[in-house]
Amino acid sequence: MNRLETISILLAAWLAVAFEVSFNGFRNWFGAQVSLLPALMVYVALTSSLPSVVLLAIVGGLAQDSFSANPLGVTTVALALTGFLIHYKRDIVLRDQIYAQVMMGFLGSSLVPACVVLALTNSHHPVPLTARLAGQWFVMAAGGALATPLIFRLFAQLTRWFSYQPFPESHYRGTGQLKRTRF
Amino acid sequence: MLRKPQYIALGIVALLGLILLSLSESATQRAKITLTGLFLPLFGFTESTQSAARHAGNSIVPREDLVRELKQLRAEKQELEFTLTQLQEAARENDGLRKQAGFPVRLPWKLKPARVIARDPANWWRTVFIDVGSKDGVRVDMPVITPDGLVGRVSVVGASRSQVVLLGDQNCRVAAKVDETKENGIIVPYAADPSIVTLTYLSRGSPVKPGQFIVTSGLELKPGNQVLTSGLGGVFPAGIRIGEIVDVRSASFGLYQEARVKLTVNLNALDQVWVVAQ
Repeated sequence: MNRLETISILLAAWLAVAFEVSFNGFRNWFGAQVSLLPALMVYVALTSSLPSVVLLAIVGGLAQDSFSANPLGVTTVALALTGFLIHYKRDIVLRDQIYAQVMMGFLGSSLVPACVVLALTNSHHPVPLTARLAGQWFVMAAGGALATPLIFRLFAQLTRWFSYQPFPESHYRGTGQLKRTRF
Repeated sequence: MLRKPQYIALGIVALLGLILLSLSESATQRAKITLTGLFLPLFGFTESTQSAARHAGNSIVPREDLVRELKQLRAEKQELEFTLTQLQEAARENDGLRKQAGFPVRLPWKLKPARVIARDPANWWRTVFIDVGSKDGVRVDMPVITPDGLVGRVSVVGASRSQVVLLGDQNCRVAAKVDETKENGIIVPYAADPSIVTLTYLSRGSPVKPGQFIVTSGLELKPGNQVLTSGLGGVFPAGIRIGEIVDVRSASFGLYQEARVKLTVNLNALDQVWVVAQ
Protein backbone atom coordinates (compact mmCIF):
# COMPACT_ATOMS: atom_id res chain seq x y z
CA MET A 1 0.00 0.00 0.00
CA ASN A 2 1.75 3.16 -1.17
CA ARG A 3 1.16 6.69 0.09
CA LEU A 4 -0.88 7.78 -2.94
CA GLU A 5 -3.19 4.80 -2.54
CA THR A 6 -3.71 5.55 1.16
CA ILE A 7 -4.49 9.21 0.51
CA SER A 8 -6.84 8.44 -2.36
CA ILE A 9 -8.76 5.85 -0.31
CA LEU A 10 -9.11 8.24 2.64
CA LEU A 11 -10.19 11.07 0.37
CA ALA A 12 -12.69 8.86 -1.45
CA ALA A 13 -14.19 7.67 1.85
CA TRP A 14 -14.50 11.30 3.05
CA LEU A 15 -16.17 12.35 -0.19
CA ALA A 16 -18.51 9.35 -0.14
CA VAL A 17 -19.75 10.17 3.36
CA ALA A 18 -19.95 13.89 2.53
CA PHE A 19 -22.12 13.03 -0.48
CA GLU A 20 -24.41 10.84 1.62
CA VAL A 21 -25.02 13.42 4.33
CA SER A 22 -25.40 16.47 2.11
CA PHE A 23 -27.10 15.24 -1.09
CA ASN A 24 -30.79 14.54 -0.58
CA GLY A 25 -31.82 13.85 -4.17
CA PHE A 26 -31.96 10.05 -4.05
CA ARG A 27 -34.01 10.22 -0.86
CA ASN A 28 -36.54 12.50 -2.56
CA TRP A 29 -36.66 10.56 -5.85
CA PHE A 30 -36.42 6.93 -4.70
CA GLY A 31 -37.20 7.11 -0.99
CA ALA A 32 -33.74 5.90 0.05
CA GLN A 33 -30.21 7.26 0.21
CA VAL A 34 -27.61 5.40 -1.87
CA SER A 35 -24.40 4.59 -0.03
CA LEU A 36 -21.14 4.77 -1.98
CA LEU A 37 -18.95 3.19 0.71
CA PRO A 38 -19.85 -0.44 -0.15
CA ALA A 39 -19.07 0.21 -3.83
CA LEU A 40 -15.76 1.75 -2.81
CA MET A 41 -15.08 -1.26 -0.61
CA VAL A 42 -15.70 -3.59 -3.57
CA TYR A 43 -13.10 -1.68 -5.61
CA VAL A 44 -10.55 -1.69 -2.78
CA ALA A 45 -11.12 -5.36 -1.94
CA LEU A 46 -10.71 -6.44 -5.57
CA THR A 47 -7.72 -4.30 -6.49
CA SER A 48 -5.82 -3.47 -3.34
CA SER A 49 -4.28 -5.05 -0.26
CA LEU A 50 -5.76 -6.12 3.05
CA PRO A 51 -4.50 -3.07 5.00
CA SER A 52 -6.40 -0.89 2.51
CA VAL A 53 -9.57 -2.86 3.22
CA VAL A 54 -9.07 -2.39 6.97
CA LEU A 55 -8.31 1.31 6.55
CA LEU A 56 -11.42 1.96 4.48
CA ALA A 57 -13.62 -0.06 6.84
CA ILE A 58 -12.40 1.86 9.88
CA VAL A 59 -12.34 5.38 8.41
CA GLY A 60 -15.48 5.09 6.27
CA GLY A 61 -17.47 3.20 8.87
CA LEU A 62 -16.65 5.60 11.69
CA ALA A 63 -17.38 8.65 9.54
CA GLN A 64 -20.74 7.26 8.45
CA ASP A 65 -21.77 6.20 11.97
CA SER A 66 -20.82 9.61 13.38
CA PHE A 67 -23.61 11.22 11.32
CA SER A 68 -26.08 8.46 12.03
CA ALA A 69 -28.09 7.20 14.97
CA ASN A 70 -26.39 3.82 14.45
CA PRO A 71 -24.20 2.63 17.32
CA LEU A 72 -20.62 3.75 16.62
CA GLY A 73 -18.63 0.95 14.94
CA VAL A 74 -21.48 -1.13 13.51
CA THR A 75 -20.86 0.04 9.93
CA THR A 76 -17.11 -0.54 10.38
CA VAL A 77 -17.71 -4.18 11.20
CA ALA A 78 -20.20 -4.60 8.32
CA LEU A 79 -17.83 -3.00 5.80
CA ALA A 80 -14.89 -5.05 7.05
CA LEU A 81 -16.81 -8.34 6.78
CA THR A 82 -17.89 -7.51 3.24
CA GLY A 83 -14.38 -6.40 2.29
CA PHE A 84 -12.75 -9.54 3.71
CA LEU A 85 -15.23 -11.79 1.93
CA ILE A 86 -14.63 -10.18 -1.45
CA HIS A 87 -10.85 -9.90 -0.93
CA TYR A 88 -10.66 -13.59 0.04
CA LYS A 89 -12.43 -14.68 -3.16
CA ARG A 90 -11.00 -12.03 -5.49
CA ASP A 91 -8.98 -14.52 -7.56
CA ILE A 92 -12.16 -16.03 -8.98
CA VAL A 93 -13.72 -12.64 -9.90
CA LEU A 94 -13.22 -11.19 -13.39
CA ARG A 95 -12.67 -7.73 -11.97
CA ASP A 96 -12.01 -6.03 -15.33
CA GLN A 97 -15.41 -6.98 -16.71
CA ILE A 98 -18.25 -4.51 -16.22
CA TYR A 99 -20.87 -7.15 -15.47
CA ALA A 100 -18.62 -8.61 -12.75
CA GLN A 101 -18.17 -5.13 -11.25
CA VAL A 102 -21.94 -4.56 -11.29
CA MET A 103 -22.65 -7.91 -9.68
CA MET A 104 -20.00 -7.45 -7.02
CA GLY A 105 -21.33 -3.92 -6.37
CA PHE A 106 -24.83 -5.33 -5.95
CA LEU A 107 -23.51 -8.01 -3.60
CA GLY A 108 -21.47 -5.58 -1.50
CA SER A 109 -24.17 -2.89 -1.37
CA SER A 110 -26.78 -5.38 -0.25
CA LEU A 111 -24.52 -7.16 2.22
CA VAL A 112 -23.41 -4.06 4.18
CA PRO A 113 -26.92 -2.74 5.08
CA ALA A 114 -28.09 -6.31 5.74
CA CYS A 115 -25.25 -6.80 8.24
CA VAL A 116 -26.01 -3.44 9.91
CA VAL A 117 -29.74 -4.16 10.22
CA LEU A 118 -28.99 -7.66 11.50
CA ALA A 119 -26.68 -6.19 14.15
CA LEU A 120 -29.27 -3.54 15.08
CA THR A 121 -32.06 -6.07 15.53
CA ASN A 122 -29.93 -7.63 18.28
CA SER A 123 -29.17 -4.31 19.96
CA HIS A 124 -30.98 -1.72 22.09
CA HIS A 125 -32.03 0.09 18.89
CA PRO A 126 -33.91 -2.53 16.82
CA VAL A 127 -35.02 -1.48 13.35
CA PRO A 128 -38.59 -2.48 12.39
CA LEU A 129 -38.41 -4.93 9.46
CA THR A 130 -41.02 -3.59 7.02
CA ALA A 131 -41.76 -3.68 3.30
CA ARG A 132 -40.49 -0.10 3.07
CA LEU A 133 -37.14 -1.19 4.51
CA ALA A 134 -36.95 -3.97 1.91
CA GLY A 135 -37.58 -1.42 -0.84
CA GLN A 136 -34.89 0.87 0.55
CA TRP A 137 -32.51 -2.09 0.71
CA PHE A 138 -33.11 -2.82 -2.98
CA VAL A 139 -32.54 0.85 -3.93
CA MET A 140 -29.26 0.83 -1.99
CA ALA A 141 -28.15 -2.41 -3.66
CA ALA A 142 -29.09 -1.20 -7.16
CA GLY A 143 -27.45 2.19 -6.59
CA GLY A 144 -24.26 0.54 -5.35
CA ALA A 145 -24.28 -1.83 -8.34
CA LEU A 146 -24.43 1.12 -10.75
CA ALA A 147 -21.82 3.12 -8.82
CA THR A 148 -19.20 0.35 -8.71
CA PRO A 149 -18.13 0.45 -12.41
CA LEU A 150 -17.98 4.25 -12.18
CA ILE A 151 -15.62 3.98 -9.20
CA PHE A 152 -13.45 1.52 -11.13
CA ARG A 153 -13.28 4.00 -14.06
CA LEU A 154 -12.52 6.92 -11.74
CA PHE A 155 -9.65 5.17 -10.00
CA ALA A 156 -8.28 3.87 -13.32
CA GLN A 157 -8.19 7.47 -14.52
CA LEU A 158 -6.50 8.64 -11.32
CA THR A 159 -3.91 5.87 -11.66
CA ARG A 160 -3.18 7.01 -15.22
CA TRP A 161 -2.70 10.59 -14.05
CA PHE A 162 -0.58 10.03 -10.96
CA SER A 163 1.55 6.95 -11.65
CA TYR A 164 4.37 6.24 -14.08
CA GLN A 165 3.19 4.75 -17.33
CA PRO A 166 5.13 1.89 -18.95
CA PHE A 167 7.30 3.12 -21.80
CA PRO A 168 5.55 2.28 -25.09
CA GLU A 169 7.23 -0.55 -26.95
CA SER A 170 9.12 0.63 -30.03
CA HIS A 171 8.96 -1.15 -33.35
CA TYR A 172 12.76 -0.90 -33.55
CA ARG A 173 14.51 -3.88 -32.05
CA GLY A 174 18.13 -3.39 -31.15
CA THR A 175 18.84 -7.10 -31.25
CA GLY A 176 17.47 -7.54 -34.75
CA GLN A 177 19.86 -8.47 -37.58
CA LEU A 178 19.88 -7.11 -41.10
CA LYS A 179 20.21 -9.88 -43.58
CA ARG A 180 21.63 -8.97 -46.96
CA THR A 181 20.22 -10.89 -49.83
CA ARG A 182 20.66 -10.65 -53.54
CA PHE A 183 17.81 -9.22 -55.55
CA MET B 1 -7.57 -20.90 4.02
CA LEU B 2 -6.94 -17.54 5.65
CA ARG B 3 -3.31 -16.50 5.98
CA LYS B 4 -1.68 -14.97 9.04
CA PRO B 5 -2.00 -11.28 7.96
CA GLN B 6 -5.69 -11.85 7.27
CA TYR B 7 -6.18 -13.24 10.77
CA ILE B 8 -4.41 -10.19 12.20
CA ALA B 9 -6.57 -7.77 10.16
CA LEU B 10 -9.75 -9.59 11.16
CA GLY B 11 -8.65 -9.48 14.78
CA ILE B 12 -7.92 -5.73 14.63
CA VAL B 13 -11.36 -4.91 13.18
CA ALA B 14 -13.18 -7.27 15.56
CA LEU B 15 -11.36 -5.78 18.56
CA LEU B 16 -12.04 -2.22 17.44
CA GLY B 17 -15.71 -3.05 16.83
CA LEU B 18 -16.05 -4.60 20.28
CA ILE B 19 -14.39 -1.62 21.95
CA LEU B 20 -16.58 0.89 20.10
CA LEU B 21 -19.82 -1.01 20.62
CA SER B 22 -19.15 -1.34 24.36
CA LEU B 23 -18.53 2.38 24.90
CA SER B 24 -20.96 4.24 27.13
CA GLU B 25 -23.68 6.40 25.57
CA SER B 26 -22.00 9.68 26.57
CA ALA B 27 -18.59 8.56 25.29
CA THR B 28 -20.15 7.46 21.99
CA GLN B 29 -21.90 10.81 21.58
CA ARG B 30 -18.70 12.73 22.30
CA ALA B 31 -16.80 10.59 19.79
CA LYS B 32 -19.50 11.10 17.16
CA ILE B 33 -19.53 14.87 17.58
CA THR B 34 -15.72 14.93 17.39
CA LEU B 35 -15.71 12.83 14.22
CA THR B 36 -18.26 15.08 12.53
CA GLY B 37 -15.74 17.92 13.02
CA LEU B 38 -13.71 16.34 10.21
CA PHE B 39 -16.48 17.46 7.87
CA LEU B 40 -16.46 21.14 8.87
CA PRO B 41 -14.79 22.16 5.57
CA LEU B 42 -17.69 20.50 3.77
CA PHE B 43 -20.27 22.47 5.74
CA GLY B 44 -18.39 25.71 5.08
CA PHE B 45 -18.08 24.90 1.40
CA THR B 46 -21.80 24.05 1.15
CA GLU B 47 -22.80 27.28 2.87
CA SER B 48 -20.54 29.44 0.72
CA THR B 49 -21.77 27.69 -2.43
CA GLN B 50 -25.41 28.24 -1.47
CA SER B 51 -24.67 31.85 -0.57
CA ALA B 52 -22.96 32.42 -3.93
CA ALA B 53 -25.91 30.81 -5.72
CA ARG B 54 -28.34 33.04 -3.81
CA HIS B 55 -26.33 36.16 -4.70
CA ALA B 56 -26.22 35.10 -8.33
CA GLY B 57 -29.97 34.45 -8.28
CA ASN B 58 -30.70 37.81 -6.62
CA SER B 59 -28.74 39.72 -9.21
CA ILE B 60 -30.86 38.43 -12.09
CA VAL B 61 -34.30 39.09 -10.54
CA PRO B 62 -36.02 41.92 -12.47
CA ARG B 63 -36.50 45.21 -10.56
CA GLU B 64 -40.26 45.21 -11.30
CA ASP B 65 -40.69 41.87 -9.52
CA LEU B 66 -38.77 43.14 -6.50
CA VAL B 67 -40.87 46.33 -6.27
CA ARG B 68 -44.11 44.34 -6.56
CA GLU B 69 -42.96 41.91 -3.87
CA LEU B 70 -41.90 44.82 -1.63
CA LYS B 71 -45.37 46.39 -1.90
CA GLN B 72 -46.99 43.06 -1.08
CA LEU B 73 -44.73 42.53 1.93
CA ARG B 74 -45.42 46.07 3.23
CA ALA B 75 -49.17 45.40 3.08
CA GLU B 76 -48.72 42.07 4.88
CA LYS B 77 -46.53 43.76 7.51
CA GLN B 78 -49.18 46.37 8.26
CA GLU B 79 -51.84 43.67 8.56
CA LEU B 80 -49.60 41.64 10.88
CA GLU B 81 -48.90 44.72 13.01
CA PHE B 82 -52.66 45.17 13.57
CA THR B 83 -52.98 41.50 14.48
CA LEU B 84 -49.98 41.79 16.81
CA THR B 85 -51.54 44.77 18.61
CA GLN B 86 -54.76 42.80 19.14
CA LEU B 87 -52.87 39.74 20.32
CA GLN B 88 -50.69 41.75 22.70
CA GLU B 89 -53.84 43.20 24.25
CA ALA B 90 -55.33 39.69 24.53
CA ALA B 91 -52.10 38.41 26.08
CA ARG B 92 -52.11 41.24 28.64
CA GLU B 93 -55.71 40.42 29.49
CA ASN B 94 -54.88 36.71 29.70
CA ASP B 95 -51.90 37.37 32.00
CA GLY B 96 -54.10 39.50 34.28
CA LEU B 97 -56.79 36.84 34.45
CA ARG B 98 -54.23 34.08 35.10
CA LYS B 99 -52.75 36.19 37.89
CA GLN B 100 -56.22 36.71 39.42
CA ALA B 101 -56.96 32.98 39.16
CA GLY B 102 -53.58 32.11 40.72
CA PHE B 103 -52.19 30.36 37.62
CA PRO B 104 -48.47 30.80 36.80
CA VAL B 105 -47.70 33.32 34.05
CA ARG B 106 -46.75 31.79 30.70
CA LEU B 107 -43.25 32.73 29.56
CA PRO B 108 -42.71 33.47 25.86
CA TRP B 109 -40.55 31.06 23.83
CA LYS B 110 -36.94 31.95 23.12
CA LEU B 111 -36.29 30.85 19.56
CA LYS B 112 -32.80 30.09 18.29
CA PRO B 113 -32.53 29.90 14.48
CA ALA B 114 -30.48 27.05 13.05
CA ARG B 115 -29.61 25.60 9.67
CA VAL B 116 -29.73 21.91 8.75
CA ILE B 117 -26.19 20.94 7.73
CA ALA B 118 -26.33 17.14 7.39
CA ARG B 119 -28.76 14.26 7.26
CA ASP B 120 -28.59 10.74 8.59
CA PRO B 121 -26.99 8.55 5.90
CA ALA B 122 -28.80 5.46 7.23
CA ASN B 123 -32.26 5.02 5.75
CA TRP B 124 -33.79 3.48 8.86
CA TRP B 125 -33.19 6.50 11.13
CA ARG B 126 -34.60 10.01 10.80
CA THR B 127 -32.12 12.48 12.23
CA VAL B 128 -30.43 15.67 11.03
CA PHE B 129 -27.53 17.81 12.24
CA ILE B 130 -28.02 21.53 12.89
CA ASP B 131 -25.36 24.22 13.18
CA VAL B 132 -26.03 25.33 16.77
CA GLY B 133 -24.80 23.67 19.96
CA SER B 134 -24.14 24.17 23.64
CA LYS B 135 -22.27 27.42 22.92
CA ASP B 136 -25.59 28.80 21.64
CA GLY B 137 -27.54 27.59 24.67
CA VAL B 138 -28.96 24.43 23.09
CA ARG B 139 -29.66 21.54 25.46
CA VAL B 140 -30.82 17.95 25.03
CA ASP B 141 -34.60 17.47 24.54
CA MET B 142 -35.26 21.04 23.38
CA PRO B 143 -38.07 21.07 20.78
CA VAL B 144 -37.23 21.99 17.18
CA ILE B 145 -39.90 23.68 15.07
CA THR B 146 -40.56 25.53 11.82
CA PRO B 147 -43.38 28.03 11.15
CA ASP B 148 -45.36 25.06 9.73
CA GLY B 149 -45.16 22.97 12.88
CA LEU B 150 -43.14 20.54 14.99
CA VAL B 151 -39.96 19.00 13.56
CA GLY B 152 -38.51 16.97 16.44
CA ARG B 153 -36.27 17.31 19.47
CA VAL B 154 -32.56 17.74 20.12
CA SER B 155 -31.00 14.38 20.97
CA VAL B 156 -27.23 15.02 21.06
CA VAL B 157 -25.51 18.36 21.72
CA GLY B 158 -21.96 19.29 20.76
CA ALA B 159 -20.21 22.62 21.18
CA SER B 160 -21.28 24.00 17.81
CA ARG B 161 -23.43 21.22 16.30
CA SER B 162 -26.41 19.21 17.52
CA GLN B 163 -28.28 16.15 16.36
CA VAL B 164 -32.06 16.40 16.04
CA VAL B 165 -34.27 13.32 16.03
CA LEU B 166 -37.23 13.97 13.71
CA LEU B 167 -40.91 13.15 14.05
CA GLY B 168 -41.51 9.68 12.67
CA ASP B 169 -38.32 8.23 14.15
CA GLN B 170 -38.90 5.54 16.74
CA ASN B 171 -36.84 7.54 19.26
CA CYS B 172 -39.16 10.58 18.98
CA ARG B 173 -42.52 10.03 20.65
CA VAL B 174 -44.70 13.03 21.31
CA ALA B 175 -47.68 13.54 23.59
CA ALA B 176 -50.37 15.02 21.33
CA LYS B 177 -54.05 15.94 21.34
CA VAL B 178 -56.73 16.45 18.74
CA ASP B 179 -57.64 20.12 18.71
CA GLU B 180 -61.36 19.67 18.01
CA THR B 181 -62.10 16.84 20.47
CA LYS B 182 -59.27 17.33 23.02
CA GLU B 183 -58.54 13.59 22.84
CA ASN B 184 -55.00 12.78 24.06
CA GLY B 185 -52.69 10.25 22.47
CA ILE B 186 -49.08 9.55 21.58
CA ILE B 187 -47.40 10.13 18.22
CA VAL B 188 -45.45 7.04 17.07
CA PRO B 189 -43.85 6.22 13.68
CA TYR B 190 -45.82 4.93 10.70
CA ALA B 191 -43.60 2.52 8.82
CA ALA B 192 -45.03 2.70 5.30
CA ASP B 193 -44.84 6.46 4.67
CA PRO B 194 -42.33 8.96 6.12
CA SER B 195 -44.72 11.90 5.75
CA ILE B 196 -47.31 10.24 8.01
CA VAL B 197 -47.21 9.35 11.72
CA THR B 198 -49.64 7.43 13.90
CA LEU B 199 -51.55 9.01 16.78
CA THR B 200 -52.26 6.08 19.03
CA TYR B 201 -53.87 5.29 22.40
CA LEU B 202 -56.90 7.47 21.62
CA SER B 203 -60.06 6.67 23.54
CA ARG B 204 -62.73 4.74 21.66
CA GLY B 205 -64.64 7.88 20.85
CA SER B 206 -68.12 6.50 21.33
CA PRO B 207 -70.68 9.21 22.15
CA VAL B 208 -71.43 9.70 25.82
CA LYS B 209 -74.85 8.48 26.88
CA PRO B 210 -76.72 9.19 30.10
CA GLY B 211 -75.85 6.71 32.81
CA GLN B 212 -72.41 5.75 31.43
CA PHE B 213 -69.44 5.84 33.77
CA ILE B 214 -66.70 6.19 31.13
CA VAL B 215 -66.51 9.82 30.16
CA THR B 216 -64.90 10.77 26.82
CA SER B 217 -65.14 13.99 24.91
CA GLY B 218 -68.23 12.64 23.24
CA LEU B 219 -67.03 13.74 19.82
CA GLU B 220 -66.00 11.53 16.91
CA LEU B 221 -62.57 11.94 15.34
CA LYS B 222 -62.78 12.94 11.69
CA PRO B 223 -60.33 13.31 8.81
CA GLY B 224 -59.08 16.89 8.74
CA ASN B 225 -59.03 17.33 12.52
CA GLN B 226 -55.92 19.21 13.66
CA VAL B 227 -53.35 17.46 15.88
CA LEU B 228 -51.27 19.58 18.28
CA THR B 229 -48.75 18.90 21.03
CA SER B 230 -50.56 18.44 24.33
CA GLY B 231 -47.76 19.62 26.63
CA LEU B 232 -47.98 16.38 28.64
CA GLY B 233 -44.61 14.80 29.29
CA GLY B 234 -42.83 18.10 29.75
CA VAL B 235 -40.64 18.02 26.63
CA PHE B 236 -42.79 19.78 24.04
CA PRO B 237 -44.83 22.90 24.94
CA ALA B 238 -48.56 22.69 24.28
CA GLY B 239 -50.14 23.97 21.10
CA ILE B 240 -47.50 23.29 18.42
CA ARG B 241 -49.05 22.00 15.19
CA ILE B 242 -48.14 18.43 14.20
CA GLY B 243 -50.52 17.62 11.38
CA GLU B 244 -54.07 16.65 10.47
CA ILE B 245 -55.88 13.35 10.71
CA VAL B 246 -56.11 11.28 7.52
CA ASP B 247 -58.16 8.37 8.83
CA VAL B 248 -59.08 6.62 12.07
CA ARG B 249 -59.26 2.93 12.86
CA SER B 250 -59.87 0.74 15.86
CA ALA B 251 -56.83 -1.00 17.39
CA SER B 252 -56.16 -3.89 19.77
CA PHE B 253 -59.62 -5.47 19.39
CA GLY B 254 -61.38 -2.15 19.90
CA LEU B 255 -59.55 -1.28 23.11
CA TYR B 256 -58.46 2.08 21.72
CA GLN B 257 -58.28 4.01 18.43
CA GLU B 258 -55.40 4.94 16.15
CA ALA B 259 -55.34 7.80 13.66
CA ARG B 260 -52.96 8.33 10.77
CA VAL B 261 -51.72 11.92 10.82
CA LYS B 262 -50.29 13.75 7.81
CA LEU B 263 -47.41 15.95 9.02
CA THR B 264 -47.62 19.67 8.29
CA VAL B 265 -43.84 19.96 7.96
CA ASN B 266 -42.07 18.44 4.95
CA LEU B 267 -39.20 16.77 6.78
CA ASN B 268 -37.37 15.95 3.53
CA ALA B 269 -37.03 19.64 2.63
CA LEU B 270 -35.80 21.03 5.93
CA ASP B 271 -33.36 23.90 5.68
CA GLN B 272 -34.01 26.54 8.36
CA VAL B 273 -35.39 25.46 11.76
CA TRP B 274 -35.82 27.05 15.19
CA VAL B 275 -34.80 25.53 18.51
CA VAL B 276 -37.26 26.39 21.28
CA ALA B 277 -35.55 27.32 24.56
CA GLN B 278 -38.50 27.35 26.95
